[in-house]
Amino acid sequence: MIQTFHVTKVYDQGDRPALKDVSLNIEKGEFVFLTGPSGAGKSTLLKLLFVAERPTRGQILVNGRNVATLKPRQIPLLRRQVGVIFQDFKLIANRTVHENVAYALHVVGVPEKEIRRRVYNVLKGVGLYHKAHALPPKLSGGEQQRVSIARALVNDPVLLLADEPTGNLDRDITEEIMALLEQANARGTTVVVATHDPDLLDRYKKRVIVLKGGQLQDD
Amino acid sequence: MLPKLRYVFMQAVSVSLRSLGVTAVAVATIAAALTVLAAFGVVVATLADVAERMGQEVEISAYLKRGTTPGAGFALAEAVQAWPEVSGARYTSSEGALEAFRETLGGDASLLDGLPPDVLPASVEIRIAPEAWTRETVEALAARLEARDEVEEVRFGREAIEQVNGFLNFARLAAWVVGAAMCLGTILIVANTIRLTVYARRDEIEIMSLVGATPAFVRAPFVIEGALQGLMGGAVALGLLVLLQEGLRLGIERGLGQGYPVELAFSPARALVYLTGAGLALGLVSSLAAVGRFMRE
Repeated sequence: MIQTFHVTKVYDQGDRPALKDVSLNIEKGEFVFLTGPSGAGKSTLLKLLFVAERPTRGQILVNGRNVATLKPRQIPLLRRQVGVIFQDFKLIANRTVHENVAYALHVVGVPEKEIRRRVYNVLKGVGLYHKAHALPPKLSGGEQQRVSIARALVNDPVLLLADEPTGNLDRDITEEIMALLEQANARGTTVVVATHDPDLLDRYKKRVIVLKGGQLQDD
Repeated sequence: MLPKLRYVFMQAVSVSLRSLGVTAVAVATIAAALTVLAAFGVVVATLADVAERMGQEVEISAYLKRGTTPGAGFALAEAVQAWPEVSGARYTSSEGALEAFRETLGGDASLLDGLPPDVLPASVEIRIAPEAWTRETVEALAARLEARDEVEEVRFGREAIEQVNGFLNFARLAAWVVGAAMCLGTILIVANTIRLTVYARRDEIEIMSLVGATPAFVRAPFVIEGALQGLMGGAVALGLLVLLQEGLRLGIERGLGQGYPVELAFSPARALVYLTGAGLALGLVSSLAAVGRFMRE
């Protein structure tokens, strides 16, 4: 699903590389933790995978496409196959839960009736259908993250990237969020979770990729 | 394609309605900027009309030699009328001139009693075409008239011509300089206002891109919103302009005096087309530029 070949990322010329010569391989259907201290390059690697950034050197294959050489007009097509979850949820504050989730389907041109059906199903899956008409600021942190997961999953992505998805949440809510990610993984979605929480790595026995100072430390 | 189009249009309308405060500020800014620009346009067009009317009153008088027959006078007027610099020529006989003078004096007309009817010379009064209001042209015209056998003397309001000419030149220059500056100012103000409304929603733009929206799909609601704001701004400006026109008309009349009754160069139908068109174009271009900039950042 993901292959990186000697990937280096330098944000500003002269600065220390955020990623240095990283090569790794993640198979289809895997659940992988990406860990390391702050500044290790976890978020940078995720950004490269959904083409928010381009590598300075090296090649990256995501679901068979070389994202390093992807043309700008092809980026939206790749992002429709990749769900992304952030620590700060990135929800549109003045749109309802339903509208936030439905947006990912509107961009693809799914008919309204089909959108209603799929949003209903995905919100039911994350236990939030009763909050479909609420605005995100009225929800708790855990609920907002569940909306963000619903939005990431509504398109049935082949790959789910989560950048510190439980960073702001307590233990019980963390377990709820992890359960949702495991369910998605059980349905065949490849999941990559960036975290610096060692407790999470202990509790969930998954493959762990360790980055330090932008370099691959352990796999 | 159709669900997408419907969606972006509904989004633009619903966002405009949801953020009424921001929409109101953008519409008010566009309306104010267009009103000022349009009011300036009306003033310039009106002043040009006034100048043209003033010019029509700049006349050359060619006084004819004693003994010139009315037939020769009429023939001269007819010949002069055909000259390209001339917009009108009229023969006035000695008796006609005395009668006109008598009317000018009104109650004191009795002063003229006892004078012979041919005491004033016959003349040909020549009105100059607006495009020939330069001192050089008028002087050349006067010289041509003086060269005619029937003409004794030529008189014209040199000062009036220079005044009209200077005024017209000033009006033209002002129209270009101030008009260009105001157009630029309007574009900058409107572009910045719309940029601020887009800036307030920059997170939304980022999220749209993250879930796989194409740049066109991200831009579309903002551009439609900008166009709607521009149209509304243009319509409000038209309303304000209609209200302002009476005040403007009175102001210009007071400024130039009652000698030149002023008719404002203002047509509501034309203003409707120009203002809504300008509003639409401003809204479209500004929102396109603003959202394009945030997408690049």
